[in-house]
Amino acid sequence: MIAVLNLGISNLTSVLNAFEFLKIDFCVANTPEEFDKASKFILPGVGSFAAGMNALESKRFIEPLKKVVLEEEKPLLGICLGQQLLFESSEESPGIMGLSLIKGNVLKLPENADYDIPRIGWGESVFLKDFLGHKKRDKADFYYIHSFSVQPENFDVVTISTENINIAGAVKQENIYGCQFHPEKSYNAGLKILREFSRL
Amino acid sequence: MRKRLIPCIFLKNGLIIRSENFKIHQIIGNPVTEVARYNDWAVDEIVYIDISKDSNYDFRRDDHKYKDDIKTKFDLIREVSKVCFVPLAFGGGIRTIEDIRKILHSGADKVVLNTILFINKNFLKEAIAIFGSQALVACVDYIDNFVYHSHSTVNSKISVLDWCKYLENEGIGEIILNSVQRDGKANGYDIKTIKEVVDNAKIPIVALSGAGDYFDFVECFQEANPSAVAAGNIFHFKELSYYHGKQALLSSNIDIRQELEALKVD
Repeated sequence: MIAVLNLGISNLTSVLNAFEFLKIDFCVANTPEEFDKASKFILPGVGSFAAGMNALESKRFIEPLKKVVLEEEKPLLGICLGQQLLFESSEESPGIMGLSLIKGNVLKLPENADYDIPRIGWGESVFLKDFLGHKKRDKADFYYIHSFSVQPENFDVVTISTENINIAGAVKQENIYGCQFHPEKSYNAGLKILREFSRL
Repeated sequence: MRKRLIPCIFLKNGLIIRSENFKIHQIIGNPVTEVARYNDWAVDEIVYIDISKDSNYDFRRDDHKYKDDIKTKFDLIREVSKVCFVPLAFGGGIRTIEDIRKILHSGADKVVLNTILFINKNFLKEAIAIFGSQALVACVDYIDNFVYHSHSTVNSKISVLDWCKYLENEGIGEIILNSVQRDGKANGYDIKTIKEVVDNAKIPIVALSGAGDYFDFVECFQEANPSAVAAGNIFHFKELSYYHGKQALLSSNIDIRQELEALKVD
């Protein structure tokens, strides 16, 4: 069973629709007590870094989530803001500490002729490693919508590179996964990621 | 970032219509079955605009393709989003923060705002604080370089460029630029205005109205360079039109997403 963490700051409908469509067993976790019945976790979210961390804190999710991910080694997938929250801090919300599951920070996207900011649309993405059903060196288009992106301390955790300036489209550190794009809105290539995550 | 090609579906009282100059509205289809078709075509994104002036939804109960539990636009979004695994934007008649919350909660990814931005100048800031810029799109309807609202019946007397700059400063995520005079005319996009706005904006601009053939898509990207080109009628009336549109863009070396497979369950 996959638990989708409900931070209450963004709607979960698109993610839940994808799980329904793929016939994947899921529950929506509104309290940390509901973590017990889950073997995998999804941290979705849109909104600001501070709003995300505040919601995690007021829902008392932070310590229980760290426990299941770090001690029990259960898989966690952060989507969009969810990926950013895996890191230590963000330029978007100075002074706010992230989950710090992966070392590094979140930076404002640099201006670039290849995209506008917010960076919205389908980004050609190159897999640097095998990642949730996709093979190293595969290429796929995913739907991105963001103004900030993660900058891991160890570039080795980056599994997808997109645009010529190397925006980290996805990361993986042991049982911790993150996607900057929206797999639930990225048609077949994205649904494949959710399907493979459910099969871990 | 790839350039996007976006089908835009106009709804009136729950039915898909063909629009011309915002005045002539011919009923052409069922919004729920239509989205399944667009899914098979692997479109980049779908925009629904509800142009109803009242909330009477006519879901044609005698048509067996309709589900009995679709009574409002929220029901419609809920049905459509269940099978839509590309971004879905919905606009039309939004007046309150609660409207946005319900539309997003029903399964849309973005909302399209227009008239409310003139009625309440604080609305956009308020909405951004709650939902974020990425969920908010403005549709800018214009005639002769002036922006109109309320189903294009009221001239705001603000120029297209001034209004777009204002929206960008306020923090809107994207702008759909819609030439009312070209709506349904199929005589090409308004390249001059689109280019002027694109050249002066940092946010994504979506061009709408005027596509008569696939070459109009190519021309719009080549001459004005928007983030996306949207169209309505051409996708309803021409068989395989989305696929052919993409092929035309591809052969002109426009950087687009190519997806050849229909949606897969497994």
